[in-house]
Formats: sequence, C-alpha cells, structure tokens
Amino acid sequence: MLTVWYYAWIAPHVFLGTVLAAILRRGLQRQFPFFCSYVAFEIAQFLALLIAYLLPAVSRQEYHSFLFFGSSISTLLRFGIIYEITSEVLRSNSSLAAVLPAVLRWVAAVLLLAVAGASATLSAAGVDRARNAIHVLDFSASAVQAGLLVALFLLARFLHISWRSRAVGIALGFGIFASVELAATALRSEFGKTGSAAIDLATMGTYHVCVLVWLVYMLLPERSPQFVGRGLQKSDIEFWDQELQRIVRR
Amino acid sequence: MTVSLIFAIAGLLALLLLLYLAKGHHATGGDLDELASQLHPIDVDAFRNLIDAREEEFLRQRLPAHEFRSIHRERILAAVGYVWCAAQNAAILIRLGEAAKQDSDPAISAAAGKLVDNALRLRLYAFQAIPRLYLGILLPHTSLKPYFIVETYDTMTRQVVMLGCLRYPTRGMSSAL
Repeated sequence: MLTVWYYAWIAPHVFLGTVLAAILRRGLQRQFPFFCSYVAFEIAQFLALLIAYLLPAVSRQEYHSFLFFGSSISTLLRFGIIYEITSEVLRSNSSLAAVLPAVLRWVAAVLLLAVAGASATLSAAGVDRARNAIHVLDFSASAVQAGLLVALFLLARFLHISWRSRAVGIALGFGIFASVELAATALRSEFGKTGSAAIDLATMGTYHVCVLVWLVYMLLPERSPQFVGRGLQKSDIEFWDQELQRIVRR
Repeated sequence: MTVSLIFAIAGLLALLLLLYLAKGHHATGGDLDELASQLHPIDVDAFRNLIDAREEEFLRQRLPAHEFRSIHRERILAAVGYVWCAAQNAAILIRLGEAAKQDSDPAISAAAGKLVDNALRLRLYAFQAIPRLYLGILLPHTSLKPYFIVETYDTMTRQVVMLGCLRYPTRGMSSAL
C-alpha cells in the first residue's frame, strides 16, 4: 500500500517534468505562460515537500504550513490558467469578447456565494487546523474552477466555438482534477480521518491521470478540425443569394 | 451530511459532463457537403410579420381578448421556430466558415472569419431571444421582440453570398450586396 502511495505521489511529478520539457521544446511558454509557471511550480513544490518529508528536523506542523503555502500559490496559478484558456478562446472568436467574460464572472460570483456558505459546514472531524485550512481552500478553489471550466465547455458546445486542441487538453485536465477534488474534499469533511487515506489516494490517482492528459496534448501536434467535402457549392450560394434578394426587396 | 453529499455529487456530475463535452468537442469537423445540405430556408418576411408590433396591435384591436391571446401564443411559437431555425443555420455556417478559414486565399479566409463571427453573434442573440419570446406569451403587453435577429440574419446572409462570390468568381456578384 505504501508503495502505491509513493508511486501516486512521485510519478505525476516525474511526468510533469516531461510536460515542462515538451512545453519548452515547442516554445509553448509564450502561448501558455501561466500553465508553464504552474507546471514548474508544481515540480519545485514537490521537491521542497519531499525534502521536508524526509528531513527529521521538519515537524509535521511545519510540513503542513509549507503545503498550505504551496497550495495557495498553485490555486492562484490555476485561476491564471483559466484566464489564459478564456483569452485563447476569445482570440479566435472576437465576437464573444463582450459575452464570455460576463458569463464567467456571473458563474464565478454564484459559485463563490455557494462555496462561502458551504465552507463553514465543511470542517473535517478530528483534523488539525492547518489541514482543515488546506481542505477549505481546496474545496472552495476546486468548486469555482470546476464550475468555470464546465461553463466554458458548455458555452463552446452551444455556440459551436472551435478552440485549439492544446487549450482543450489543458482545460480538460484541470476540469477533471477540479471536479474530483471537489467531490473528494466534500467527502473528506464527511468521513474525517477514517476515509482520508482512500480519498487522498483517489485524488492523487486523478492528478496522475490529468498529468498524462497534459502530456499527451503537449506531445501531439496541434490539431485543427478535419473537414471533408467542398462545403458551400454554387447551388447553395444561389440559394443564399435568393434569400438575400428577398430580404432586401422589402 | 447533506451539504457534503450535494457537493460530492456535484463534483462527480461535473466530471461526467466535462468528459462528455470534451468528447463532443473532438467530434467537430465532418462532412461539409452533408452540413451544407442541412441548411433550411427561412421566410424572413413571415418572421418580420410575426414580430411586427403594429401587426400585433392591429390583431389586439380587432379580435376578442381570448381569441387574441390564443393567436398571439401561436404567433410567438411560430417565431420561436424561426429563431431556432436561424440558430441552426448559423451553427452550420460556423462550421462551414471554420473550414473556409483554412483556405489558402487570404480574401476567402478573411470573409469566412467575418461569417463565423456574425454566425456566432446570431446564435448568441437566438439564445437571448427564445426566452424573451416565451416571456412574451406570459406577458402579451410587453415589447420583447427580437428585431436584432433579422438584422444579424441579413448581415450573415450577405457574408455567405460574399464568401460564395469569392469562391466562385465566375458567377457574378449579387445585386443585393
């Protein structure tokens, strides 16, 4: 069991190293600066926490303080990534400039209100204050992030917006992680220490899957939608021409 | 207990929804000829008539109240049908435009970009217009008519014809442009 736990902790960060290498090799840090910073920060945070975990001089309390500090920065960077993905969608669909930010602001406002109300009830039984603060931060951030990403995907689906496949991959990875983190933090507050190990393992496994999703999207070449056929034919254009004639004849 | 469970279920539902939406996103593209054949003509004159405030006022004055309400309801439902059809055409034109944006000719690519922008705008308007129209059934005295749909549809039609003229220059430019 301990081996699985160590694998779930260490392996995603090794793969994150490959993601960072792929980003730098393809020059994607200019297109996705927040995502690149997030990946680099996650690796640095992992190394710092691993050292703190192995050093006997570092107390449990100090370790959790490091973890809380790191989680706070990670959370901020994740919001930066959502901003980055939204900008990417807006860059290729300028007509959404007025609507998309407004929709996302409303979604964020509603989610913040819901989360603020719920956070008070989510203090896990038998868990110290430092860990509790991390849980509340994770819960609030993951609820807002999952909601924003679902709203973004829904809007893209209803409006038939096309966005670059790498942006989709990054959004999908964060969306999966935020959704599972939301469910996990809610369940953790319910079961306290008894179910904590299993929930931690499930969250770490999900993070591993997300890192693999990012790795695949960063390694594969950018794909644009593949179309077959010629599309609008002369006859179609004539139909639209007649339609236009009818409109302007009035 | 209840709050935790609600959020846990919400998280799992969000996960399933995201996976479904991402899967659908990868399915974009497709057969352009089949897409073009799915375009439906819209009788813009009839639609204008349905949302015309003067026409509505005329009917209100001539018909008994209960009969007016029934006809008004049918007219609004017909208008919703037109808006929905315009939104469907816009969705198809977005994909046809996306394909045309990949054309090597910069003029065609630029015209396709404008068409996509306008078709997106029409879909946004349609999503605003449909609830407004339904609200018009409940509140027949309010003026919630989506006149902007007709204007946007007009612009979109011009852009399709413009794109067609760029792709098939031998057929000549429409006199309506």
